[in-house]
Amino acid sequence: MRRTELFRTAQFRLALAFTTALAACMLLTFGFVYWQTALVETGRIRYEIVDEVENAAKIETDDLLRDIDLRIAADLHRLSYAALFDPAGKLLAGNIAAIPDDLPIDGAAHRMPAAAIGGAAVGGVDRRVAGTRHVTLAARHRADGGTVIIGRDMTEVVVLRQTISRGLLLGIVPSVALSLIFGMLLSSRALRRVRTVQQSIGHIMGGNLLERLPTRGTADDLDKLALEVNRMLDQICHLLDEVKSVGDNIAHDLRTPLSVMRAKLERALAATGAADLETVASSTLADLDKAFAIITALLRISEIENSRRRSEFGAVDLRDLLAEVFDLYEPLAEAKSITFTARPAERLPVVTGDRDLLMEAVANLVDNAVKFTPAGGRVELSATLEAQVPVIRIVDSGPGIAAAERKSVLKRFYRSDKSRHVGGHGLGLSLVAAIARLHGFCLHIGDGMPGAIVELRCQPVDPADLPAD
Amino acid sequence: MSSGLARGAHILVVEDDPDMGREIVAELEARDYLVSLAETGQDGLAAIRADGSVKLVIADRMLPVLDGLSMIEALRSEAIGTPVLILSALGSVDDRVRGLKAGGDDYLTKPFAMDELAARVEALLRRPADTRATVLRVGPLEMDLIDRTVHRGPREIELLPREFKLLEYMMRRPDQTITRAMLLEEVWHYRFVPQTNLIDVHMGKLRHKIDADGDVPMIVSVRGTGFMLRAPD
Repeated sequence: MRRTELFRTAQFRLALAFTTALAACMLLTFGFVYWQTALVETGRIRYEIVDEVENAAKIETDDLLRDIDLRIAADLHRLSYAALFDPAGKLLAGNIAAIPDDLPIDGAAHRMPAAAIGGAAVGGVDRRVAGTRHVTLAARHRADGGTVIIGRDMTEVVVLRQTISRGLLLGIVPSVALSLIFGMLLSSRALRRVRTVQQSIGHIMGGNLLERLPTRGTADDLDKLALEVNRMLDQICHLLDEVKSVGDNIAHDLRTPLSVMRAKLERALAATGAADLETVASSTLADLDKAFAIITALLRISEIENSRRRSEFGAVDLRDLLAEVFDLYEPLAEAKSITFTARPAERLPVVTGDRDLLMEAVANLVDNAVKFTPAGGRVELSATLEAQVPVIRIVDSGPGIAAAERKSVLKRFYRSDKSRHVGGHGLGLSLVAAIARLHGFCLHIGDGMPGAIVELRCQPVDPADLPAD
Repeated sequence: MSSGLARGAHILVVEDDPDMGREIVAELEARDYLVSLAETGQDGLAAIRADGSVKLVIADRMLPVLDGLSMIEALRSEAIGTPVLILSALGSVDDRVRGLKAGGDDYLTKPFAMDELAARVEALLRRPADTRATVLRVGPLEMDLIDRTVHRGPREIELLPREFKLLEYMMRRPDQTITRAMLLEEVWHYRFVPQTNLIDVHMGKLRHKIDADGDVPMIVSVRGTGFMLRAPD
């Protein structure tokens, strides 16, 4: 497994995206905390100092001295500064040795390095922050000319900020590393599965069409995909089998006429009389026509079956259709002394379909019925509306089709044993079945006791579309 | 219109398969047509432009350089109305429709019988002259298209509507071989060939009415091909 491959899987990319999002979230959260402590806390302290120094500038000297002493005494952490100087700048009370030179005496808070006030008073501070220590001071003149300074050591805030940054660093690095490792693990697992699928596909493309993609039965997305592909492969195999059996059938059905033709031609070569040659030539031509008829019918079936076009579909009037088929076949039935009737119901809706194909289907069914019905029998063609479904029905008094054979007759080339002596290429019903499938119609073969009932059940129609009485 | 007009007509065959081309030329020459052969659509087009005597074009659909349909379209766009019979190995209904839409006048699917080809060639060369005539006459046979009556001599012949249609088609094409496929396509508008001898049965019934006992037969069978309506000598 190559490394780049590992980093290219969807899983790894997902993990990477997740990690980035996670890191961004953590940065945002910590950034907010940092901002709160650094700015807000500092601001609060500065505000307090300004407030205090303003207060200290106003009160009586004795009260101020007592306050300063109290303040320093109460400050166990030694973070507070307070001092009172006389007009000459001499310290009267407090823990700041002298007024820092660069401290403006304006009552505002100023940030200064701790060294500016000697840094003496402060202790217990973390060594790591010793170099960066600073204080916030505010100074104000009093009415008597003295100066009061209030301040606070800011090291705590700096320490807090540093702790937060450390926490962020300590938290974010392992999280990112962990999710990346997790992503790589997922990625390699997915790669392994893809690899097995690739192998199977390789086998299938290599010609082993019976091989299927491996599934785990976990119904995850990859499994579902594999199942679908397997179903597709099943369908392809089924179609290939059909094609193969069609090919076999063509070969089989063509072999007979071709052998007959060959035999006839051989005989013609040996013959001497021109009359003999003529007989052989014309009967060979007839055989050839039969072979062509088979090919034409097969091509036609596949044309219809492969047809995705419904552009030729339009409104077809079943009464007209029946009348035309009747018109075409009536003389044929009459010649065979078969009673042929056509009975379209009075009220019939128009159906949607390809008129020529539907005519061909009905004509084929009638053709079959007339062909298989013995002289003196009857063939009835009717169209009725049964529960919103227009049904074209052909009933004959012929030998019928045995229940066991009803499925097979729809297959290409199938011919009932009873019909071996009757002409035709055995493709008529398959053609009708193909036309029915194209239209979404149902072809049904039943028992007429005796004889056959063949029904072409159209698609149901909307009752609103029925012609008015 | 006499059969003499069709005989000797100049026919251009555009077919790239040499065997097929040779067979078609031989067949047509045997029927006294003057035949020339082109092997590509481009050559065919040039031949028609150069020679105004071409009365009919027989064109294969699949041709090198310029295919058959494009050739026909080019002809029609130049307002050359020479009838074209399309030959094709593609038999589907769609292809047929496309061929006729492109400007073809008839369409024949391979394999075809040479008799069928000859019959269609004759039909294209001798298109019915006057389609507005209200009375058709062939010998003693007379058809009144308005009263919808048929007489053979003094005898009135009762015909069913479908028989009338069939006879009308034949009377518009006297002395001309009409194949079963042509009848199915033109009279019944069927685009497929039924398995049984339907047309023969229909023709048998019509013939029975036209040629009564003792009459000289007017509807004659053309062996292996179809039928012909012919005035008795």
